[in-house]
Amino acid sequence: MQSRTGARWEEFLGRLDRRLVSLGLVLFTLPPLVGKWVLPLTASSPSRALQAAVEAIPPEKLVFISSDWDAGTQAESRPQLTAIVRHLLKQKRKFVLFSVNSPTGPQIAQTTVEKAIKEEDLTEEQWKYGRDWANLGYKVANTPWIRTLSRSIQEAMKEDWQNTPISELEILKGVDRWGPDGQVAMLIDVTGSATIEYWYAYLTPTKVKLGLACTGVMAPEQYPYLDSGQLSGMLTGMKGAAEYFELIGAPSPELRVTMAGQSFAHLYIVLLILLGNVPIFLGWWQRRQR
Amino acid sequence: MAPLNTFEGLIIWVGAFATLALYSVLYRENPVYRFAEHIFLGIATGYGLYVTWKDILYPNWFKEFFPGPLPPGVPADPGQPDFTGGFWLWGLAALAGAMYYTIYSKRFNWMSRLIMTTLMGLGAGLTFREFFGQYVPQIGKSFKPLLVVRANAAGSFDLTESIIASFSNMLFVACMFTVLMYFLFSFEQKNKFIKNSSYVGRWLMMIAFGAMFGSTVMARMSLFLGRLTFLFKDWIHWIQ
Repeated sequence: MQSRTGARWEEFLGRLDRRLVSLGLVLFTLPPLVGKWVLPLTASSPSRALQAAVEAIPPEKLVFISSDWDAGTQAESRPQLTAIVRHLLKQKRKFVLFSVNSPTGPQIAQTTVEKAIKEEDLTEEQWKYGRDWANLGYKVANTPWIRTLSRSIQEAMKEDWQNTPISELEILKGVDRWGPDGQVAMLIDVTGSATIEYWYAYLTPTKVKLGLACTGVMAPEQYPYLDSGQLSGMLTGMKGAAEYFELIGAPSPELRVTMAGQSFAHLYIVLLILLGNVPIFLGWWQRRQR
Repeated sequence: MAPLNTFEGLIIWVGAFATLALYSVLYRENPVYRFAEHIFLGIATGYGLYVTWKDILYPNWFKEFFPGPLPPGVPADPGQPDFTGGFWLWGLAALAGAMYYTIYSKRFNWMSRLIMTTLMGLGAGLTFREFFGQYVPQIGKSFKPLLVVRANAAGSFDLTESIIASFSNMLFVACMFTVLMYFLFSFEQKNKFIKNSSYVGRWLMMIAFGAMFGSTVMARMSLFLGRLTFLFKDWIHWIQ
């Protein structure tokens, strides 16, 4: 039975304008962003594992990045892709992008990579499109195509995102197979949806290393794959991106500030949950007093 | 504030308008929100169609079908389309695709069932194949030794590492066993051991669901913070 105070409290919460809750969130998260507050950040083991996997790639092998995100998840996915690309640039590892989930993916990935190259102080000639990296555009992820891709990259990928035949891209000459016996050592899926399941299903048998940079929503479901060794490493949401920037020695002050905002947003949600539980607690306390 | 007289500035203003228009639904349903929603859906659909043609149908189907100009030295008839060297079997793909649309005809809708059943069979077979790639490695890795012996860098027995690794494996096996017990629906769970294991399994799953909820909140807050940063940094320059 609920106490009278508890009932009154519940009635008050029920009458509370929900718009105030949204306004509260803005007011709670704004001070860390405006005041540039920074909180401590510790890299998690999945992020460390991804860093180690990238650094273990032989220099002559390629990395494929499946960039499967669009504007909807850019707050999480863009910094992830930037961090991974900057790490590859620091390691001088050549990479190839493609998208299987979002038609707008190649355009967004292109601008993100071009910005990352500038941030690493490399000119277009030093890290040249076609020779050191390429963007193969959007491909529809139907199962027959993915099966073909797992068998032969040349057969599945015909042109880049500007319709240049891949035979004209120096980086892809002779590149056809995945895994230790092939030319592609790793595939990293930067994704806002469940595209990684295609790669588990069809690329696991090739023994190519798989890395994942996913949104926070998806991360808990991916831990069994880390445990089974199907995933070499993982970045979880914006937090994963911030950790990766720290790990590669290129800390992002902007992301650290946003992470402080994120912590304050979480604190606000926790406070709301506690507030919602006050009537139950009051009822329990008054029953105990009696 | 972002300048309105440059292209980049204009893009930021459009982005800010779209963000505020979409968030305005938090206040109440309104025409500005509807307008922004419809504009977004229209642009996304249009762009999606264009990219599907440009990146999928054109290079993989149309270009194979009509391979382009004749080789040098071969006389062409200027008024006629060039069908030389086309991979004509791709026409069957168009035919198969067109069979879907017969669903709208009472007389010919049996044709749509032909293509649907073919693809359902194909899908079922491929799903079976996918299961092996995706889940079988996990089943294999779930066979963990309960007692682990670890060596340190010098090659001698490392007691602390061995205890931690053994405990981790034991915990994994216990969690897997209890959760699997929860899904034994074939008989009534009267046995005390089974009943308690199932109870523990249910609690473990609730903890996992709690972790998923936490991650979902984190993801949503990240998206919100991304927009907030855009508005206050790129648009009105409150955040430097």
